[in-house]
Amino acid sequence: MMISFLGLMNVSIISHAQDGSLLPDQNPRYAESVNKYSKIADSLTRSQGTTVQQTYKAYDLYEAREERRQLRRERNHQYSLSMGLGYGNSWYYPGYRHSSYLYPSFGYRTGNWWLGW
Amino acid sequence: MTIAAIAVSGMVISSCSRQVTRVSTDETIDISGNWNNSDSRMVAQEMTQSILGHAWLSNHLEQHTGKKPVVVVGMVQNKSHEHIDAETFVKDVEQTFIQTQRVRLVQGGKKREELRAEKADQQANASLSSMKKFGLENGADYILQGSINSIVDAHKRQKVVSYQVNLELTNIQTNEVVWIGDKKITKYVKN
Repeated sequence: MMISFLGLMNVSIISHAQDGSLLPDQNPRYAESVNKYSKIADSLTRSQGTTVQQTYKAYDLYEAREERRQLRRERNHQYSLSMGLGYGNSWYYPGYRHSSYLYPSFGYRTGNWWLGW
Repeated sequence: MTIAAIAVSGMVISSCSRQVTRVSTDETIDISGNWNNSDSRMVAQEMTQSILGHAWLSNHLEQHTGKKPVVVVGMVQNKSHEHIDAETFVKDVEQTFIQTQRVRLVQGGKKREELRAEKADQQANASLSSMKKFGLENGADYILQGSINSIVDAHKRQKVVSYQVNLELTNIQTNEVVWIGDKKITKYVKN
């Protein structure tokens, strides 16, 4: 008798506590959200007060052309250094100049006109 | 020799000089023919007028005894050939919602995540009197979604680009599309 009375009391206390914790119109499953966001709150709030950079590179014809030129110059410079040549002009690179892919051997003079080769 | 040096230095200086002038944001300046601020502004104007002047708003107020609709902004897909940020015109539409006080707006996406994370942080750190509770958010009645499409027709130095921006408002409860707005912009570019 005593045990069943205590059991009833316990159930009523729990149910009262649950009813009391919910505000009017509050979602009864709010605890699920609390659990979910408590775990990731730190990572989600870390950027507060800062500016998150999410930029993109707009295509500018002139800038793109300058970048291409700069890249080509650097590549040529590196190539000339690696070949032990002091030339800054790609025309003098042996591999480039003698490439049959770029210059057909038939009907096209590829030698130096001044030096005669 | 000296003259040549001066001429070369003058050319270098003139080629490096850059002139920047502030212009009105309402002014239309087309340079490349790509999507620009004028297009964004035109879309925003069209969408704002259309969405607030349509029957869905009065229907909602009638059905819900004058209770303002709650809207969340969903995803806008850019399916065009260019980089276009829909936020530039969607924000204008949102701003009009707030300014006119005819539609209520709730946060969505990453900002909503951040809000919930802040609320979760408060559960363990804020005082009881200032702590905000979970489960009391305003649920949206409608979601605003959209897409951006483009058609490019080019031949030699001529190009015609057509953009079509669509925004649509859907009732979240019933999945009923209550409003669709569109703005078409066509440009002829000759290089």
